[in-house]
Amino acid sequence: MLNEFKGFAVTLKRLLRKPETIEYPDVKRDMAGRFRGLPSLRADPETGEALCVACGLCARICPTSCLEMHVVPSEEGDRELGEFILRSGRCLFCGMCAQVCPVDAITMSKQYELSTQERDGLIYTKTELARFGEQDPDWWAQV
Amino acid sequence: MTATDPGAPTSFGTFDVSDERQISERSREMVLNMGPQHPSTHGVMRVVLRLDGEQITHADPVIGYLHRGVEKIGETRRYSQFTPWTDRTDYVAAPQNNVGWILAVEKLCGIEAPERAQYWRVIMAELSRIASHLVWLGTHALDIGALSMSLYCFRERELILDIFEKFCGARLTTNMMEVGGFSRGIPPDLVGMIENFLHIFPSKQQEYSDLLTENPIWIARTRGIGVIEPEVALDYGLTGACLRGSGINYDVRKAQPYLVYDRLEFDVPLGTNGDVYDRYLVRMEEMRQALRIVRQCLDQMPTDGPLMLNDSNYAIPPHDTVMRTAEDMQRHFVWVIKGFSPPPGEVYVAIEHSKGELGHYVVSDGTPTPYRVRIRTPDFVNLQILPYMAQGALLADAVALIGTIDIVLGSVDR
Repeated sequence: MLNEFKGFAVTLKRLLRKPETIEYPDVKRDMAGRFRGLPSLRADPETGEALCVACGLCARICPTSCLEMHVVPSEEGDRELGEFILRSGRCLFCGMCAQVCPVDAITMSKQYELSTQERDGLIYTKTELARFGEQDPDWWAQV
Repeated sequence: MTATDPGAPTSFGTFDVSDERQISERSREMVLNMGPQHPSTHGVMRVVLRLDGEQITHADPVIGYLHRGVEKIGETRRYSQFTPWTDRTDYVAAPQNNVGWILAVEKLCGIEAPERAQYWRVIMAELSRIASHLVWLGTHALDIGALSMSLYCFRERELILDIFEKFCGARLTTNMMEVGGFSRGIPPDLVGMIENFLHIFPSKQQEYSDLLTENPIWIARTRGIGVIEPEVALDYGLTGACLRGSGINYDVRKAQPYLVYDRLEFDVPLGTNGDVYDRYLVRMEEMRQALRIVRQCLDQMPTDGPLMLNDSNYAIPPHDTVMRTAEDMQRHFVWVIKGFSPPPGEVYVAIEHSKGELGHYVVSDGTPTPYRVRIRTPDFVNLQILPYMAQGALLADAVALIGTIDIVLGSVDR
């Protein structure tokens, strides 16, 4: 008989405590510094210029080949980033692209609300990715 | 019979309505499909049940609904690229899958991570063991009717997932291990979070115990149900709590110690009756032992020292020197673009996963991609005991029997 009440004691104890849950989407939880959201492109915080040097390592390491990089010749006769496409429907959010980027031009942004009405909405271009990531700090240096 | 008949035979589910046996003049066996969208099958699994009244005369699990060809994917990716895929086999215990895969690759390459990294791997694996057991406990109790248990268990699991998020940035599909150790430092307040968890969790676990261990309804639903005799458990090749619940002392961490488990003290809990209740007790005790292991790791671990192996062949160079030294930059580009090539050979590395023995068999032909990857998942093997346990059980106990094996369908199907 006592054992039935033992269980009730646990239930009653909970009754007076504050809730453990939050009212999403009105309230959003704080993400850890290393949180891996949508991979995005960073810009230099001082000049506002894109950091990418178009080396292509991110596209090489991507386990699902969801990154597509087009390189074009720059005005100085060097190479620069033409178009950069992320097919986020295939993205594993593993963070390897940001890890291997030698100039930390890719960041794992805090974007995680990514549902769309149509499939094309899952494909992000350079302009969109730059908008998500321009304010982001260096992801790899986060603690 | 037409093709649209729900009882039509399929290539892997061999039951049709004509299989129903005549039991007496007025009654016959009933074939009932449980799943694939049944909430208590913990994923997409179908169990074809043959019923004589309320008694199960035969249960046949039909799997494959979540098959993604992970092993084949492993053969087309470079060694380091496959780690995120291992997260997705058993997705409730991703760090342990990472450990299994990374240890197999490291053995193939003949390298070993620095001591400090090994301790951190053990900590993450043991925390993930607790998280996995919490999911099991919550859903298993929910299946049997203790709804609030699932909420309590998921509450504490959050603390562990926050630790994972702090450590690597992801909560579920962690991809936190790397060949050679960890190339990223440990966040300064991570140890505090783990200490906090170690402080909070024992009292919470006592709550679960208060709710279930002596609860007469819980005992009535679990004791004497789904008994697996020790010799049957061995015959079926069970591992993990399903084997130890039957009283057989086999734990890979003790039998073939890996990482730093040989330096840690912990007990292997054993059951006596091999029923659902004993397996519950075994897993509860495993959570307590996991806490002990994490505690010892935090105490024994060297406070500083390298986390990543300095190895020019297999490990990724340090991130901050890539753009500073020419040698590291070259190594980095080669590592990313070409990958590394372990010497030709084959390895099998088993670890004690929260569900049993998780083995990775990898064959290298000396190229940057594996020739063959085979993952021996404990869930797939343990699931095969279901028909044996269900024979003669009541229909109401079917959910308890599925729950007690502790399967994750991503891991069964791969």
